[in-house]
Amino acid sequence: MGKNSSVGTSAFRKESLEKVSGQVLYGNDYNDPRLLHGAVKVSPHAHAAITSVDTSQAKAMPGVKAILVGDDFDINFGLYLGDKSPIARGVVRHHGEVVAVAVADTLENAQAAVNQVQITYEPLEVISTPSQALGEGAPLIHPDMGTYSHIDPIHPEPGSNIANRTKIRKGDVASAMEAASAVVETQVSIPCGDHVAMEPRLAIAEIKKTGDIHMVSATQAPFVVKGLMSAFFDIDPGKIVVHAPMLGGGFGGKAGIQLEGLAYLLSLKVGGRPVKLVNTRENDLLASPGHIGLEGRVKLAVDANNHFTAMELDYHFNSGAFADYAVNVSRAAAISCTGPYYVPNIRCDSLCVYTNQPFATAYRGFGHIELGFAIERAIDDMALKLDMDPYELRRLNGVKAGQTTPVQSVLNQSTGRIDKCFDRVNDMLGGQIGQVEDLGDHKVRAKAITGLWKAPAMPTNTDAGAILTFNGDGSCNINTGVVEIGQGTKTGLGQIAAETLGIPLEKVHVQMPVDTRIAPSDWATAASRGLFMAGNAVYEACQDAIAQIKEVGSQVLRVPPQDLVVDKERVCVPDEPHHGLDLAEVALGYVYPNGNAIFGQIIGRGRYIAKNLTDIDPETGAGHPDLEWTLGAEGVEIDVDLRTGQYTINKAVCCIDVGRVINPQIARGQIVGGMAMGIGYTTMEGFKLNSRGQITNDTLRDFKIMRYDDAPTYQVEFLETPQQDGPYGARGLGEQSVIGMPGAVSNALSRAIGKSLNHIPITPETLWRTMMEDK
Amino acid sequence: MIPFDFDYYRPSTIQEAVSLMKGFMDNKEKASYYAGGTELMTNFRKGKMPVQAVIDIKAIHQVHQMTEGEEAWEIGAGVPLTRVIEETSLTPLNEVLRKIADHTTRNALSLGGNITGRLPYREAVLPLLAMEAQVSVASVEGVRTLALKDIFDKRLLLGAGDLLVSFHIPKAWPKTFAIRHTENTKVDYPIFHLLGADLGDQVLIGLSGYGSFPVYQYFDRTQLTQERIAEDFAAHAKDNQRATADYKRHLLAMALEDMKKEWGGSFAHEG
Repeated sequence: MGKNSSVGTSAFRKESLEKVSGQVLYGNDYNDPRLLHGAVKVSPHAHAAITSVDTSQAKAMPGVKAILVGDDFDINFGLYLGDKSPIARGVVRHHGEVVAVAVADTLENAQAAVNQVQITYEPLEVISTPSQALGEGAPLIHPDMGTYSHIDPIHPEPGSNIANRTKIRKGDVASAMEAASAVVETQVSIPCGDHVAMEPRLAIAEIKKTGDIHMVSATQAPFVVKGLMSAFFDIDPGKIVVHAPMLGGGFGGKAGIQLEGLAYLLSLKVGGRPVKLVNTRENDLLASPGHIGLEGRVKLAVDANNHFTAMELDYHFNSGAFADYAVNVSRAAAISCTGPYYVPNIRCDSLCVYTNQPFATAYRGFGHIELGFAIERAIDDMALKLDMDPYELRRLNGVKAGQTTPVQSVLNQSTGRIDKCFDRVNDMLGGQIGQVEDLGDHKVRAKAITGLWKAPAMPTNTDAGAILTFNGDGSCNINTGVVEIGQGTKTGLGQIAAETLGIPLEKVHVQMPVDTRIAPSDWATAASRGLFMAGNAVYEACQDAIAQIKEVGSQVLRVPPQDLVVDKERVCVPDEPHHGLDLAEVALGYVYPNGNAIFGQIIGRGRYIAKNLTDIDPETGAGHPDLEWTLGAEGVEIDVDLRTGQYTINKAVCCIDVGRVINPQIARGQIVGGMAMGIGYTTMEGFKLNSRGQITNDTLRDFKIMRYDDAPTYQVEFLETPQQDGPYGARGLGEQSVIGMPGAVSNALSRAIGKSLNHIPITPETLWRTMMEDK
Repeated sequence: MIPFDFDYYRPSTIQEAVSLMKGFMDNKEKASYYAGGTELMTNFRKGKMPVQAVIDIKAIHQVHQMTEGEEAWEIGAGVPLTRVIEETSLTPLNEVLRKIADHTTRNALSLGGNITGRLPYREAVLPLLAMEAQVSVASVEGVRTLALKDIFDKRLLLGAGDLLVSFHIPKAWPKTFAIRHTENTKVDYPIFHLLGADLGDQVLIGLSGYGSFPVYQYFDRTQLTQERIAEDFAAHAKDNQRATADYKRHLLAMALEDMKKEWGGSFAHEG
């Protein structure tokens, strides 16, 4: 296997020591005496016309450089669909939308000034759910949708509240439904919510006299920021420099573009001086985008052999006030709409629907956590109807290599073994998944199992690059565009380089912050593609460097390059290891004893671009948008008190086929983190609204996320069916483990109480109320 | 960031503190006593309850000290919950304090602040009532000591400008029973917190999170039934964003069942 056996070991993270000793500079640690500061005022209304704006008092406040409101800009932003003005113009569409910004010499002065902006509103009818938004006569949240620019893969329907509709048409659903031996129909809902990354979003923008624009941003996607800034403002891309420090968590909330456009506009208004705009926690919850909501309906048919024969799927995603990434979330959910099961006949309409909730962007799982909940609830309903073990039913229908996905692309031989994942999860839970055990004293124990799959949802030309330089001691430096967001990818990239070059990991130095003028292009640190794509680029850069090292070695050692190996920090003849050179001797150019020097430094270049991807057909969904699939299974064991509805998740298990584990501890950390996030999402998260559509849990006192105290025992196993085009066989694993948890938790709890729990979050009171129904 | 300016005072005596407060009140200026600051800071940050002055009471000896006497503990109102938990063995109190917030926050939360704050829970009052605590309250006229139950009705009934100085908590306490529920994650405000105390001829039952403020009642032992208790408290149950009144009433019924079971199957006196 590996020369140096770095791949497959639980090496410490490269950035940990800096993090735990407080030496990492996050975005808000950039403090420059020249900085001006922005502060925002937000809308208290969910939907209202702005009837008057008075900035006179605010402009007279001390230290103020500029006061900006919606009418100061006539442009719209949007990741896929240009539906958002930089500051609300004429109308506010969600509680927490930015309505005014002050720029001042200090943050205190900016905040004091923006508080003095006087705005009056006339409330408009509020729409909070997709069913309201799609109802007869619903007011239009974006009456001008027809004038918005959008990219081709998105299909908005002007004159409605539908920002995107993605259609999947596969086989003959009507006939399959008719011929079915059993059919179930399940409806689910999920509220909108937030990522609650530890670090709130921020951007700093400065416009230099040269026309260069320098930005510091808490972003997962510095190259997306660069590209979109260039497109929105017609700036040469080379003039835009985005500096992305390490992040205190992203979870999708810092992909796309966030505060950068506004920060640039603020800098423009103050003569190019650097302006810092930082979200408060409250604004991070409401003014910046959170996670999408869903109203879903699944109709599932089986034949006499219990094979899934047809699915009819309606996914109505709640995008909130703007489309942002949500339109692509709804599209991604259509592409994977059945979950990890083979279904020959499918109709799916996946809609991205505008409402007056805070808007939605990417969130770990990107549509799959939502569709997973809907599908897994329906499968458990079917298992009950068939009186079949939920594990057996899933195993029977789990998708395999050679079968087609909902978009009719064929799963290749790298496809993971979900049947084995189901087996392992069933074993880890002790089997008997469908049985509810009576523990006495009104308590029961229930279990559940779910399947999951995800492929990256990304442009067909998604890329990555790596540049490898060397130091005089033969150690190397890796420069990629991947952002360290807590996921540990950069350590994994280091391990791939150490393995390939045959040097110890300590001699691989990984550049942590990303600078778009220095780093090679990299689409975004999203979609679980960092290790896979940048890993391939690093591998290629190492091979490029090895070829160069052998070329020098060949000349000095007078051996053909193909007879040389690079290993153990040497280039040498394998059966005569003493006949060789130390890497230190060739890294910066070889110097002969007489002083002559040759070749110069070794520079490895590597790149990756997604291959053979296509968009999908707008009418049928047919196409090949899915690069590589990661499959897995998850399950839980839960004890429930039937008197109060209170429950304890004892155990959460996962078996996932990741191709190859590059770093077991980091991989386990990602899986456990995703499971925890999924449990929190299912049991306690989500925005709460009052009758006026205002968010009532708009602080962390009230918006609860999971704590360590709430954690079950986690058990994680990996399968390694190699990804043939992945680095050392690895594929993405960052998001996947969140996907199966809502289904697992809701299925176990539904079994425990003998009634369906189809609405997230599922609190003890939800259980009690559901038990009380029809009693 | 706090979006307004205020003056900061750090008096070192009770007299100084209450005089300062009286001065602000006479000038119609808003001021606030400050100990842990967890509640003030979050309200200040949101621009709520702006004040002209903050009077930090942590430098006042009586407010931040804890002393153990023969019969009782004297605990300053500004003592953080963590110190009470770690340095005393006042079991019924500590069992409740441990459930309030998380460790890091309890390092700041003060015992007095838990009871005098604006949040409606004031959970520490439940065990303190059961333990027959007394409180010392200062005004410009001087310091007076009263039974907590005589000065607590929904909230601590302090006069304008009064300062809660300390608690006097006896080291002998009755048999108690406590049960606390949250909406889901444990580190959260209670949707239901019951504490029952066996006071001999009487049973004290106090509830937090159930209504808009803590409610408690002393029940005569002889006429005590589960139904009677549930009935007496029923009207106090209130919906909030974490739970409905119906569910809270149900949790009360279940808690009373559990309490009865733990106390030997009956509320009737055993001795």
